[in-house]
Amino acid sequence: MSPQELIRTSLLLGAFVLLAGFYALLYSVGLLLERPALMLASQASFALQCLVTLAIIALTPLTPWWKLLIVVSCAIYFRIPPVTWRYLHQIHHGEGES
Amino acid sequence: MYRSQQLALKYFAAAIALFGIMTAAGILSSVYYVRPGFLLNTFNFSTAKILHIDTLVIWLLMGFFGAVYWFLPSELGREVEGIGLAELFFYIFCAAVAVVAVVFIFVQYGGSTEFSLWFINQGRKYVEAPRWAAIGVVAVVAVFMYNVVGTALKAGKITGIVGVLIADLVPLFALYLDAFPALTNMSQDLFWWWWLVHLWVEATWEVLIACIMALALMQLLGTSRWVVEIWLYVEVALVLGTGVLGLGHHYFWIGTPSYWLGIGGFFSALEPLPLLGMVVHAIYDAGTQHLKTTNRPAFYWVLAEAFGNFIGAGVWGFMMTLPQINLFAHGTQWTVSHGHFAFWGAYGCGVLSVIYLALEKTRGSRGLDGNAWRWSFALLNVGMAGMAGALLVSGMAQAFYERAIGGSTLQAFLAAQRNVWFVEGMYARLLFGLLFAAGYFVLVYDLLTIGRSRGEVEVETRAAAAGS
Repeated sequence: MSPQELIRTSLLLGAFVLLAGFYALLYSVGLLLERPALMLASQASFALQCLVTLAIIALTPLTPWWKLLIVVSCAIYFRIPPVTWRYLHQIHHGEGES
Repeated sequence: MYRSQQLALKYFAAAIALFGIMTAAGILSSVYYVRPGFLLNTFNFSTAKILHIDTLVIWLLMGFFGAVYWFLPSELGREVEGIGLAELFFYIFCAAVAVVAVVFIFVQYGGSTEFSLWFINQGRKYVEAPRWAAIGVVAVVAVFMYNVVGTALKAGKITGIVGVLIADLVPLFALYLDAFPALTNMSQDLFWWWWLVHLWVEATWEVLIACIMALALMQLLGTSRWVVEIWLYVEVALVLGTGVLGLGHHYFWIGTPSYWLGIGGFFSALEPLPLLGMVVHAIYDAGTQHLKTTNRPAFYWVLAEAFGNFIGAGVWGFMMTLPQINLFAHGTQWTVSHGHFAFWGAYGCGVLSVIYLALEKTRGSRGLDGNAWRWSFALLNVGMAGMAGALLVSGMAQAFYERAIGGSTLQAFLAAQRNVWFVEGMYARLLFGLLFAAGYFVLVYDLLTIGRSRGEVEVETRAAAAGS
């Protein structure tokens, strides 16, 4: 890995998780406040995360296994906010019923 | 108030005092990077760094103990079993810490003898305390275990949270036994040493703080036990599932087999996943309460814990955890940046939130507001974010110039230390460190004064109402 590739790869990896955080934050706040604009912004964040994933595949010297891990992680990050939210809602709802 | 809760307040006071010493030693350590000859042969960098890191470990540990002593009696409905012994060991713990600090400051180091190992410094990073003091820590943790397990047995009930806590105390105790050096092969020694450091910080402490935050959420937001316990089980499973084998991300340059690098990188790459779930959880809880709570400082520190943990451990960690990056970043200021942010987010903010919760009970909830806590919250968090950013710049410069270009030679190391990115990053770290220190002073002022006057008024009003 060249010095430039080292910094580029690292920054892309940081941006990858940071955008996942923005996606989760905007998704959750959007649902909470029932603001479609925030939901849209969350989708835009995830779209950016997908772009970063593509950049990691195309522009970094990581071996294929690590790139595959990033792609799979990207798909999992997409599901975490809705699944977590639904799960939280269910257990709070279940608590009310019990 | 239970005696155990009075003991908790003492632990919190000691933790905050050590937090201050840690901050002072951190500022001092950062000065050496911009003035390399500072206090040369009088008080060297190595000693300041030992003080900084060891007080970090001890203030957090005291904060955890305080939190458990605070919540345990109300959780199990009785006074803590062996509370007299716990009180005695609190004073022994404090005295031992003070003696070790005096030895570190005034004696600093000794010859390569058994005497040095027993009475000056064990020579192992993060657990430098001399052997007599390390044995003392083992005794303190053993008494703490006895208090928790004994109280559960005497009460005849084990809640889900206390069950997880008890299960966690076993490895917490057992792993510390690894603090005593016995191996002469350095690779083997470092291999096992990381079990102590990593598995305390990224496994047992994670579970401990999860239990503490579960108890805190029930008190702070009135979240039901059922919800909190289910979420605790899920999060503990995810954190342990990803964190334990993440151990391998430390096994660089110490002679361990190379397969550890892949294992460590893989499991570390999964570590941000549960942290993201925690962010969603924090927003959900905040939303269901409509950001309304009787204890705003505690509430904001809980939120800071969730977000700080995600950014410090998740984002900062993921930037450097894959083996191809870690190979270059390992042991540079880059690691230091991640360490600062992650410790603060994962543990520091959590302990501060519990301290404010305890103050609510002792001083009355109506008075727990004002400007001081807001200032301390802002200064501490901005100071920490600034330090982490500055250290990241310096660390990247080191990885780039010293490691990737220079090939890690001594000459490359020296050249990187003079590099403008490195030097300016170090100046910025010092400035943000001073900001953080200012936040600490405001925090202490706030903890001493918040709610005191109004709380006294409440008490007087209640007394008058009872009398009339």
